[in-house]
Amino acid sequence: MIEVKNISFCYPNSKSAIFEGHNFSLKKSQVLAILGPNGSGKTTLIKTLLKILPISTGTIQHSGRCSYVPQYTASPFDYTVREMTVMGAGGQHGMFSTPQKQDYLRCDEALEKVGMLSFAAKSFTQLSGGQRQMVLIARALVSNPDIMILDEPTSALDYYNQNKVLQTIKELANQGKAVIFSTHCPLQALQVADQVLLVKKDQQSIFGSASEILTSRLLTDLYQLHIARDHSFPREIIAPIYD
Amino acid sequence: MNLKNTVNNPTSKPKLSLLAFALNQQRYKINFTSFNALLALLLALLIMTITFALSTGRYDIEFIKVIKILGSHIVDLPNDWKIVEQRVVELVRLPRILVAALCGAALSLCGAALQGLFRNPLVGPQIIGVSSGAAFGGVMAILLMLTDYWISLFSFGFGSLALLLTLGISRSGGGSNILSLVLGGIVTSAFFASLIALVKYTADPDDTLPTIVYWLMGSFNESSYTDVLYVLIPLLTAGVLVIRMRFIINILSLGEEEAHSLGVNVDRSRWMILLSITLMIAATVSVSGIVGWVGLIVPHFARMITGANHARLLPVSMFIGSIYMVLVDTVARTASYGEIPIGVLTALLGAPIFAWLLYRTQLRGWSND
Repeated sequence: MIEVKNISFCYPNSKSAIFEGHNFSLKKSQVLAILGPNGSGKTTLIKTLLKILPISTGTIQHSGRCSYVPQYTASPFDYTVREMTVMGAGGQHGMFSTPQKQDYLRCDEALEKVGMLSFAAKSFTQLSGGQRQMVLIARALVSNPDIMILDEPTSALDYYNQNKVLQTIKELANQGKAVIFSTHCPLQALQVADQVLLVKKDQQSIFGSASEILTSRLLTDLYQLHIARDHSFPREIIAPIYD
Repeated sequence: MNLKNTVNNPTSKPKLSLLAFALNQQRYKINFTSFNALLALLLALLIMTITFALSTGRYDIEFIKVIKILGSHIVDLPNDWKIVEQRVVELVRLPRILVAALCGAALSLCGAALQGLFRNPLVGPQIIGVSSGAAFGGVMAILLMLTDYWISLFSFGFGSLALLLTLGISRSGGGSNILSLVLGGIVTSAFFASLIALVKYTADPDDTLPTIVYWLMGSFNESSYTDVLYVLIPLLTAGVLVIRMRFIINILSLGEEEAHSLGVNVDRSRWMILLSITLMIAATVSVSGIVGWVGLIVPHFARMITGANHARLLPVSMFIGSIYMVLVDTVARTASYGEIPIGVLTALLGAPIFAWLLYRTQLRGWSND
């Protein structure tokens, strides 16, 4: 579905790369979690995958449509949830396109899928963080993508909403989509992702299956803080041991 | 439109007045029936305002006579008006009022589109420097004692040059983001403002200087049917283009990267909108001088009625802008013995209205972020 080979990125007027040497691939129905400390280039990597930023070297090959869920959206204008969602139909039909009836139907379908249809006529800015995230996921679904890319979808959410977003990610994968998301929480990666990419500035990234990669040693090395992985709980957990 | 979950079923509140009904619908989905009703209401209001303006002035003409004079072109009516009344309505007031209405529509459309494009409700048509450039062009033509035709041409030429300068400055840093565009606009505006000051300084204080000063303050005085065409043609071409891009403006108002990720060709659509806006602003400046504040305030009022969606905001802004401009121009030509420059009046009215809008949005917030 998506195959990334040895890509790097650096800004035009800068000599040092934001990241380099990333390799990974992802198949249909798989989830990839990207983990890395702040400033390791996770968001930049996502932007290059979306072709918002051009890669400096390497190749990105993907089959199918790619859709993006930003961490948050801040419009100064007060759109309704339905107006916000239908924007997912985007510029697919050109500069002069306006959403058609089928776009609105797909929009309502997507809202229903994430449980937000009853909010369709409400103001987007008056929703809670979790609800907004759900609407942004619905918006990404409107274009019926094959690959979904989410930038830290849980970072501003409470546990309940984190769980909701993670369950949605799982469902999307079950429906045959390839899902890529970045997170600061290794446990989320362990429980949701099939594949994991660990990125660290100026170091070779590590890619592999979640259970293999998310070891105490690699995570401790990644975050420069002791991260424990414990098998004794009813389910495996990964937690930082703060100094 | 068969959309589920309609919060406010229009059929459930049949007793509401049309405007209240439209207002009531504002937050919800596009309801085409109520939106068309709103547009019809605004069109009716505009026609009434224009007819009222035609009958008002130092030479008082009855309202009914104005309707008869205009109607006589469509149906055969008994001629019970004086020829001078017909002349005043058709040759003096009508072109002026039409120019005012069209300028109001064009400026408000530009303002609404720019506010969306720049993701900032405090932006007006002046922000990209085109107004200053066009004003300088007009001032130069006056200094060189050229005809009205040349004033229009110079306005448009220098307005376009100002846009190029703004784009050039914003791109010179390597970026093409909105902030660098705003900074480019500020630099360009300041540059042309100083050039205008220089022209004023060199102008003949007994002859061209008063003309320049008066022209800069804005006026629809001496508007002709040619001026109507000068604004109508850009409005029918560039204006229609901007309205057709209403959905893209919605998406652009989310920010560059998001718009890009939603499949919009950000650069191309943005420049297309900016060029269209330049054409319209330059056209309005060339016929009326600088009329500020309209493009800034009117979209706010329109937003109160329609909500943020540009599909409704743009046409409603145009209608409100037309009505507002015709009313203000009527005041400008009737309130005192001499004519009050319209730019002065729109600023006098605009500043307190804007302060009120600021106060109101401080209470409510443009968004809850």
